Amino acid sequence: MSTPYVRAVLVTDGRSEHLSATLAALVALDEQPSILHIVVTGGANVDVPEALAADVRRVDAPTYADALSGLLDTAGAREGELLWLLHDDTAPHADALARLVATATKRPRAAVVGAGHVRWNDASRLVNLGTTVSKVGARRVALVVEDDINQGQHDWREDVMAVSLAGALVRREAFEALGRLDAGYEGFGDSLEWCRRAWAAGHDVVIEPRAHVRHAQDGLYGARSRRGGRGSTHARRRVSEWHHAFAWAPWWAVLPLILLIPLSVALRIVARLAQNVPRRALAELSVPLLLIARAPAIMRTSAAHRAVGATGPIEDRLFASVRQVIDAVRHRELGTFERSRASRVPSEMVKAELDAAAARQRLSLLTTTAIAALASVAVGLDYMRALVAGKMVAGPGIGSTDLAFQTVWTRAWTGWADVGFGSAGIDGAYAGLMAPFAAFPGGLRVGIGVLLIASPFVAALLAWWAAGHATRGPWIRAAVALVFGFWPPFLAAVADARVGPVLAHVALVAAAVALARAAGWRRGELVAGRIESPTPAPSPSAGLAAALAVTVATVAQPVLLLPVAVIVAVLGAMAGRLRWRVWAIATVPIVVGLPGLAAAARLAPDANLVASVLAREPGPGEAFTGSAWRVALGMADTSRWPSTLGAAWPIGIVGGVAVVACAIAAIASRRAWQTAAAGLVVMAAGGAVAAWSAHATAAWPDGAGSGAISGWPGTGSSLVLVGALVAAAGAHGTLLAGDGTRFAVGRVLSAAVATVAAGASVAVIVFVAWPGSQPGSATTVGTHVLPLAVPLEQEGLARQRVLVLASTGDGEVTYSVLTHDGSSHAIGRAEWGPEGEPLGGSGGETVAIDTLAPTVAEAVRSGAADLSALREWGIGTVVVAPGGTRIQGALDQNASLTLVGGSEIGTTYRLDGGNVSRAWFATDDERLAVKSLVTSGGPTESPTEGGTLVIATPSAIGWTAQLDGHELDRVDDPLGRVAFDVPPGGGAVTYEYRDPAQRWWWWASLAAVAWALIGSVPLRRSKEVAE
Amino acid sequence: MIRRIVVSAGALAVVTASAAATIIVASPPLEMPTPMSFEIEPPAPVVACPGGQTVPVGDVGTGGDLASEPTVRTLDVWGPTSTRAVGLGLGADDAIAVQTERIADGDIEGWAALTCAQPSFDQWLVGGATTLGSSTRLVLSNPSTAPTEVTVTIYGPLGAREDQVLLPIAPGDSVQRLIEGVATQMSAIVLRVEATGPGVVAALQDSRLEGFQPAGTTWVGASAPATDSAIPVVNADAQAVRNDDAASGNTDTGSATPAVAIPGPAVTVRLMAPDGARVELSLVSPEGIESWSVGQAITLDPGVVTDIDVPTDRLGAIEVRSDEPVLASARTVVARAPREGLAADVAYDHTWVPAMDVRTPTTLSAVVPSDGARLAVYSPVAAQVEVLGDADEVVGSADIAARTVQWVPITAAQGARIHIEGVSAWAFVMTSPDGYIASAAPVDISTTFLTATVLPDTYPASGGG
Repeated sequence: MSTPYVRAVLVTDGRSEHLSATLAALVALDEQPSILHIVVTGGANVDVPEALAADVRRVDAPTYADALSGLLDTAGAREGELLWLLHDDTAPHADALARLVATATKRPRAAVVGAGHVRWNDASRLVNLGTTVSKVGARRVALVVEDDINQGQHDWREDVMAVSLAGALVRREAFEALGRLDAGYEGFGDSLEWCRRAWAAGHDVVIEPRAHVRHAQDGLYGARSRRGGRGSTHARRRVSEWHHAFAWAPWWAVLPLILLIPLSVALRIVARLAQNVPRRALAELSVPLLLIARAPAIMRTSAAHRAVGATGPIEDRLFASVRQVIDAVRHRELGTFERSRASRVPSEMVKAELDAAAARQRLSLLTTTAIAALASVAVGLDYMRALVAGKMVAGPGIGSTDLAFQTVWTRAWTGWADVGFGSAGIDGAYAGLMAPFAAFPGGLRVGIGVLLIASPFVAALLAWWAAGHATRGPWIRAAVALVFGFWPPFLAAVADARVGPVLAHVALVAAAVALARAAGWRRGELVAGRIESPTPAPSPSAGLAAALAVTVATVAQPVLLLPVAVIVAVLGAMAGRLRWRVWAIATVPIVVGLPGLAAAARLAPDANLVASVLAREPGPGEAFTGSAWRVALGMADTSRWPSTLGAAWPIGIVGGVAVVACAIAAIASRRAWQTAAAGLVVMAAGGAVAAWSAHATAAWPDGAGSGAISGWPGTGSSLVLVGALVAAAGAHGTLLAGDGTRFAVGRVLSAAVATVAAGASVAVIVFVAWPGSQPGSATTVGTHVLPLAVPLEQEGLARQRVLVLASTGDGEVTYSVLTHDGSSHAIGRAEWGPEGEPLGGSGGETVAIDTLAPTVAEAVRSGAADLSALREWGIGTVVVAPGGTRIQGALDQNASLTLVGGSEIGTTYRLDGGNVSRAWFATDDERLAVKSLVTSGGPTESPTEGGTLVIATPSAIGWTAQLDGHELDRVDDPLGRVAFDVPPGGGAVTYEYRDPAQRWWWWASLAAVAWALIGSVPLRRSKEVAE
Repeated sequence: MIRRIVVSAGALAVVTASAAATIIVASPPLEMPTPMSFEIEPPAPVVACPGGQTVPVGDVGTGGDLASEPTVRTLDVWGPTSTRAVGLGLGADDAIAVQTERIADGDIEGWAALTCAQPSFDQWLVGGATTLGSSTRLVLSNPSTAPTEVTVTIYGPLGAREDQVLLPIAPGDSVQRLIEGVATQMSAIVLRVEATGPGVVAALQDSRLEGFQPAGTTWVGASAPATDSAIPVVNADAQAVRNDDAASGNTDTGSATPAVAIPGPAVTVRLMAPDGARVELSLVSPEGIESWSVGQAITLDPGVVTDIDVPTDRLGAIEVRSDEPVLASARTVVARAPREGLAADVAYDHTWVPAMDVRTPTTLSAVVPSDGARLAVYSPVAAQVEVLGDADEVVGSADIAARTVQWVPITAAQGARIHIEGVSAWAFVMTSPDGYIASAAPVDISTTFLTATVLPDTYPASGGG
């Protein structure tokens, strides 16, 4: 048998930095090809070594396939000719050609004999040893995992579905018969396409694993494009996979494949975001568009199959099995192979030490869990009883917590605060935060109850977790957990049902955990004589989890937004190469908190007002009346303890003083001074937040039942505590690693202080739970706080409001305008400026909303009171709370009220005259009610004589009304309500509130939060995906 | 090293600055939410008088010696130009009125007077008893145009009774209840009357019998608890009266009997502290403080009604000072020889005078109940007391030494409205040589505006609902 004629073809555009090495490799071949063509495209200059006999040709071809075709068209053909297809980044091993020729000779049916591709820089690492595809969907599956070490384990392979044509020996006859390379694939997937055609046309495709070609994969890594990296070619590779799938799909599978595209793209985008490769997600997003552009090429490929006779069956064994596909996904996408190869198995001695350390940590966790669980039960016992009995948490500054999910969602979606007379809320973020709690079985009542009950427990466990990143001392971790979980201001917030500060406390420690993992600030277990064991690499998912936690904290307590942004900026500067990851943490809370910043900016330059808006209280809570510095330092409020325990007040201050003292002392640590400094900065920010909150007006009155309140400094106190614990625990972490007497004394001393602090914290819990204590102002009551029929009026088509009057013990009368069965501060407040200017949405003119107070005052004292103001604001019902006999006395005499009935939860009066509604047509002589919901109404037939559509809410940008689809003009209303001119002639009138600024913010926030949510899923990624 | 020092010092500096800022704003600057007070114009005043006294029980419907129902009586209402019927009594569209009644025979023989007040939501009546021979009749009048519901709580020597009396009253109507039908054998009574709606006017008829002899009848008006108050008049210089007919043996027995000794006037002070208190009582006379052996601190248990005898034989007043608000009223009993009956019988008349707050300057008003009525004024401080008429003209004045009581002559005629400004306590007293006594205490009608304090709040704010 004579030696076959081998025509080697190397195509180059001269841009590969590997060309010279490739040419050198050709020079070094054991056996030279019969002829070597070097096809140069694009006018590049190529220095061909003198030792290399080559036919250099210059062609003008845009792709490899075109260049190759151009050569073959002119080069003629010989019988039995073999084409050796070379790229300018493929350097064959010296014996590669000999091995390929030998195999081609041995396998005469083989249309192509592929070489094994190895890494350019490390020939022991495999790159490609053939590929296959799944039978359904044409999922491309590599037969070896990239970078697997070549130990000859794959040398048995022969028949494969496809080989890479780079460096492959192809029979010229078959190459021509099968239509050469399909240029429609644009360089990705054309090898697979040709090989599959070969099988379908009755040829074999064979791999020769021992014939090695070093492949730099310039095309794959986009080395020739402006922006390199594997991600730069991702979209084109994905499109080529779809190209292959469609081209080879039977006719009946085309439609399912088309339907599969959006599903695949959506899933892949989610996965890419979860893997924190947003560029890949964008690439996935572009796939459908590129695929549409590729459609003609797909049809040409499909036609080519018939033209070249590549329509025969292919053996099933050549296709990828389901198992192979799953493994390929795990390897290629999730990098499981890389990790398993990278993982190091510790020595038996180290493993024993790690096991012993893990046992100590488990004991610490168990102790913390048990104590935290008991404490949560002790503090939340009343809440538990209430939830079981079907009651709800209520009380001053809270109102009702039994609100429907729809109510919560409406607040979050529209931004309209349906509280009192209503207001354009700054945002719906707080209600959005409450939405998951409202989705609890049992609704928001149960959600908030569970939150309050579980929060000390969760806070303690998260603190234990967080402390583990700073120190591996089991007892210190437990002490940190107990101090954080039982921090007196936090317990006070739980007992007062201050939902925002409670959430912020828990979210801050969660953010600390996530931040530490994102930046890799964590300590390993000490083994083998105080040597730290390796810790996992910094996690990008943790970065987004931190963003999410910070967002929760800042939505719950907006006062944290700017301080936390500053803290993140400082920490980012300390994070080295990961600074952008850390800085990115601030983006999500800033996007979500943007409306608050805009609202504050509108009140500039009045610094007090700006500060107050930034420190607003979005949720339930009473005004704070104590000393801010005591709260900031975490000193317990002994008035909440039983009076007999008042003498134990020193115990209430031990925890805070100990932690703060340790934090300040930590700055003296030589090894942990950076951590201590960072902790002190956080502490300082916390103190500032506490002072800021206490001094600010956290909410201004709305004239309809919401009074002004000052902020709660406990949120700042939480930040103080986080900073102090970071400093103290960080210093302790270095103490553990130090040798010598000084460190030993430090360890003993810190353990003693930790014991005192933890003991004091547990004592505080005991005192708060002691019989006779008054832990807080929150109470538990039945879910119906208004007489039975009243909520029906609130939710009916007229959407009436209800005025509730109650007597206090000292002769004062409290009033509240309700749109639900109880105040709904649990999902947000009405947000007005000090002069009645709307703070939220697109802002708007200041509306002089008269407070209802004069009307209420007159009504509760005089039977001759004029109650027309109630009607003008859609209040149709007055309820007097139990004990308000004096109020009833006045109302009984009022001729404009009718006593409807009394019950143990209140006495109800109805405004005479009927037709009280949220919105109405005002004509010269009558009022016609308009069907209303919270933020929309109609369609209702307007009066033929025309009139004015009055919506009994304060005027704000975003309210629109239509008459048969035509916009109605706004008119001024003397009371500052929303009013539209309704022309004569009649027609269906509708109205709606939709603030454009709110909409933009909503979607932006949704995108940011969704990104953070998906990205925080700890879905691993392969090296390939990360590149 | 330098970097470490700079960073550490910087961190400590910001912590110090933060701590300073926190301490500077240690307390929030404002009370939030801020209560708002408003002055509300009161509705047009309306008053109600309880009407005539009735024989509570035992009216056998016969005449002669055993007749219990009075046959000779006069009932007058002074002050308003016109009156209308309000249930059992009379009402008027006026701010104040006075009712006087003189009954010449029967079981409820005696004089009674009462300043007719405007409806109130919460009032205390200090007087009455339900022991054998005593009857206490509560009259509740609703002169307004809206219904009211009244809750009556009875306090006795053992404290408050748990069972309350609930009474609905229609507009323009009145209801009466005999307290002995609810709470028997109570030697001392205080009632609390709480009303819904437009409020109610409450009055208590305190009538007593000594065997077959009338032992006094009177009306008890409303009192108010205070920590520094004074009962302006006790004893009132009343003298026991010997009835010549009786003394000469003109009795049913027809037999000559020796004249019996007619006891002098007796004074009893009734005290009750709703929340308990330590009380100091002082007896004053026109000359000043009188020595009184019981004049030491008395501890009152919450809700327990206590009677204390006061030893005095001339015009006096009683100062009541306490650490917690206390209700006080004094009963003056005047004896006389009975119109008919056994020779040893003694008849009585009595009157209750409530304590008045002397801590806060007020303007108290009254209507002169009769031309013969005398005005007793107590002042805690040395002052010239001027009695002003309806047009603020001076109708009487007197210089009163501190902590004394004295009669102040006035020129106002029966039915004229008078008022006194300041911190004095005063009352009209009517006595007759026949041994009858009645008094009429002033009321405060000076309030021009009602005050309402309202504040916004969430609902439910506490355990309500």
